[in-house]
Amino acid sequence: MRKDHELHTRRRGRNLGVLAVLVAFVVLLFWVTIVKMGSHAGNPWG
Amino acid sequence: MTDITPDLAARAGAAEPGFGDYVRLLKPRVMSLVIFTALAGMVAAPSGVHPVEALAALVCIAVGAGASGALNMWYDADIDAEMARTKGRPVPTGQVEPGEALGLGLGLSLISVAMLGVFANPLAAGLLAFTIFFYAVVYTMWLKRATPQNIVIGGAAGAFPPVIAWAAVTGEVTLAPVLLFLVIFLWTPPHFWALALWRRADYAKVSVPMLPVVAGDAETRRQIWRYSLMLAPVAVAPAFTVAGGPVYLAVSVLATADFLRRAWTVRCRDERAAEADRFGAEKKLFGVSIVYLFAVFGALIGDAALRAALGPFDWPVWF
Repeated sequence: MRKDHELHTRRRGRNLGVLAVLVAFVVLLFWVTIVKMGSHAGNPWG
Repeated sequence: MTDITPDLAARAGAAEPGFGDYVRLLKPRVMSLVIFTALAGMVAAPSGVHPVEALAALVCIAVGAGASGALNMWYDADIDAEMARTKGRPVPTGQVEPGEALGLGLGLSLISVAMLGVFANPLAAGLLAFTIFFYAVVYTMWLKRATPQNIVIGGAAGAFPPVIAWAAVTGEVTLAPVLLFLVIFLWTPPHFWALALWRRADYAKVSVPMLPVVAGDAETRRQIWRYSLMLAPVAVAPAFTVAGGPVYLAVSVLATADFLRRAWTVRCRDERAAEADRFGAEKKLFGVSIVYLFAVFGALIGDAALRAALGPFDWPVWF
């Protein structure tokens, strides 16, 4: 087993951070979509 | 499998940004103030918007504020490197490349404005776009290095968040959010000039014409007092709008009285007295001014909570 280079550790942290932001964005978008569909139920143009 | 060893060797001396460096690019401390004032504007506004939609709008406003911070750090990297307060920022230290800061700023600007348009309405999105433009272009690229009135006019950018938030949940801008705008707009000069008094050498070194550099210590103290005086009635006025109430009235009167007292102390001192105690009163005014803004906008949330708990109550609405 080879020990990770410090750069790898930093990049992993950065990648995980970006992943968390993207997942949060998708969840928010999904949640708002559900709410908006609920509040405009029966009126697709509303 | 790709061998990246040569890449590592080439980068051994170069900085590799971590996630935190990109977060610092968004000026998280400024963002916290933006989030709080926007939240207060949102909670105080009379609207029946769903909390999830309000949260989504708040996230967009926060990201938009962060984006303008990144654009500011990209453009100001040359002077940031020379000033003690800012030389540790990600671009001047080389942790983040200038092009990355520009890309992040532009990208987040576009995303935040577009998503606010989708989550809320075009008015709020337009106001957010204008705010980013005002901070990044009008203030950072033009006013900051050109006039001692830089933070007076540029302060408008920091004053917009409660107005954007109000527009996001109500779809309109009435007198109440305009008063909230004026509170932050008039609060900004005493707040920044208190800091500039003891950071004057820093600004002079990079030729940024802050008021103490151009007009001197005594004139800056006079101006701090004048703006504090103008702030006083404007800070209390929102108590008598649909957003205000007894909590806001009590907090704004007490906090503004304390703010005026501290501004008067700064007004009455001279440079020699300030240097003798290492700008103690000026630092205190700067620190207290931040607490002041949190207290005043927090009081709006307090009144909203009171209405939620007790139901609508009689309160004079003059504006």
